[in-house]
Amino acid sequence: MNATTVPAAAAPEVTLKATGIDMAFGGVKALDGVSIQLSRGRWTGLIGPNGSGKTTLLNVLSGLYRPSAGTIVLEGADVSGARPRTLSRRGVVRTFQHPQFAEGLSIFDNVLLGADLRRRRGLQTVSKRELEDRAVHLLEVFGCWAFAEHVPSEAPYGGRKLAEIARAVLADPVVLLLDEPAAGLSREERAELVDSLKVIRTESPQLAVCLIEHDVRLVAAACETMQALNFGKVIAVGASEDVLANEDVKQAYLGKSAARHQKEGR
Amino acid sequence: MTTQSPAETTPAPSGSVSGPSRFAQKLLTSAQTGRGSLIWVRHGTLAIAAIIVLVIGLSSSSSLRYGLIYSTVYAILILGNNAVQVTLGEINLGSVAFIAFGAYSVMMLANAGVPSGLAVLLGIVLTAIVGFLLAIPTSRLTGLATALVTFALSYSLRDLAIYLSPITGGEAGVFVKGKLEVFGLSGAGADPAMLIITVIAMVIAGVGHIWLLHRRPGRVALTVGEARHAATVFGTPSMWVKLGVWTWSAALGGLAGGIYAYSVGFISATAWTIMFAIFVFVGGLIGGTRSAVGAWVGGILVGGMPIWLQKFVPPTAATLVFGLILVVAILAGGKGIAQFAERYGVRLFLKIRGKR
Repeated sequence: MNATTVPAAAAPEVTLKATGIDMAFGGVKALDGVSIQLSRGRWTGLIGPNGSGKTTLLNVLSGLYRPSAGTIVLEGADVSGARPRTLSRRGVVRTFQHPQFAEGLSIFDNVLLGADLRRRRGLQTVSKRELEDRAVHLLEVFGCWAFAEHVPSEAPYGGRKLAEIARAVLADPVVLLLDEPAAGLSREERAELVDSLKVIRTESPQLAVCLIEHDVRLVAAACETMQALNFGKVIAVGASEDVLANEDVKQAYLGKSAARHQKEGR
Repeated sequence: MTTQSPAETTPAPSGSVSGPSRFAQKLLTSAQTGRGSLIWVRHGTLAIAAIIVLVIGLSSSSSLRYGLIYSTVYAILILGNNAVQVTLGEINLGSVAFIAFGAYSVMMLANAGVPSGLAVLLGIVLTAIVGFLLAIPTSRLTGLATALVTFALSYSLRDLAIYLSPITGGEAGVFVKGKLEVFGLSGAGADPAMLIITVIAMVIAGVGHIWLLHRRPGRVALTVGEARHAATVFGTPSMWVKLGVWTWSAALGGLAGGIYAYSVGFISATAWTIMFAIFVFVGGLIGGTRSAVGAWVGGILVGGMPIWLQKFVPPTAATLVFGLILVVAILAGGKGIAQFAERYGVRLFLKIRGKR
């Protein structure tokens, strides 16, 4: 299947560019020549059915997986095959499908991991107090302040997912990779997520974001560009509304006959 | 969650958990995690525990005093062992190797004429270095693999000490010359000064444990142990953190070994059995792995109780009674006696505060 490129608005400065990424697990090719471009101040949605390679791509971009082929350039520097530690110190920060928190720490202390990374990155010196104040602010933005002093297992699942985004944003990243932030969230929590992402967008206008999500309406609301994957290949890339209207994308999500029926208005 | 009074309850925002006020929740979480707001309470209880041990030890027979010294040596070792267990979540059965290395180092240095205080200091440094080196391969392991490797280390230690008998004295053992002279005190065996020195060492180790666990190093180490992937993608140098924890654990083993050398006064390969390591592990579980006072309680239970019980019951029955006490302690304590006491204390405090 060839990728359909849909023209998007004038492209801003590219922050991260991955080209021709291959990733195989034994005989299964999870990513096959995938390319993606994340730009400063632009939010890119990564969509596709289960098993299409979205999370694998995020694992490659964050350094958890080393691709068998392809290059990754971050702010002009080749970081292909770099370890997570190197990438995070260069500003690539991510969340997980299932929140990763230490149970022996309160939610607040877990979120401070983002402050640790900010410190390690040697960004403009900010006092411990200021970082803690920022953590409080972000927990409030994401609606997690009420259970910030609880251990993770006592907090609602959706709340933990939101707190994970707060932790990532606290690191003041250059590239933010969000892996299905809305999965498992209640309707109220989804609304909270959408509002919180708007605040983050306003507060961090330079941030390049890659958002993986099954809720395409949420992706369309948050992202101006989208990229669709299927069977480890890019099937469409461009402006959100154009990608959603793409026949290949519809077929990947709905199946061939359903997509045809939808097109015919049946 | 826990007991709460109306005064402690605030309305919960939508989509959040309901429960006690922020202050109350901080205390409850602190009691649960062994970190946070109760830090000064923990320092206070450590000081009280030190005073109790000193008062009992200094006003009692030399055999009871010796039991307290020996138990406190166990407690220091438990504290080091707990660091690995709590933060990295690993089961370390190799603590006996650290105390043995510390004891032999101090014995050799002291018998070579090195001043006792310096000998103990060097013993700590040397054991820490050994711990660091051993941790390089060990910290790459997790879970059962760590337990098995450290078990093998402890299991082979006695035979290794016998094999190296020209240095260690083997089963026949070697006497340690002189007394331990530090803090303006001089003591050995069951001397009152030896008890004071041992208690001071335990307090220093306990304050170090509390500080490390409550501050950033503890937070980072807990993340490495409990949320490995998060630690990795947030740039935490996980391997260095693990090496640091193992080194701290070994340093406390070296300290325990140095005090052991002077209090027992005689070092023999027969002391380094796998049961020693298991007692240290069990002592940590019973006392409470996150608590300095808990380590002391655990040390007294596993270090002193089997000996004291023999005064009241026959030696064969003493083992059985000791085993029963351990089972009851674990059933009652959950996360350990000290942490159980903390949780109960916090709930009681909040209840009383709510009634006012």
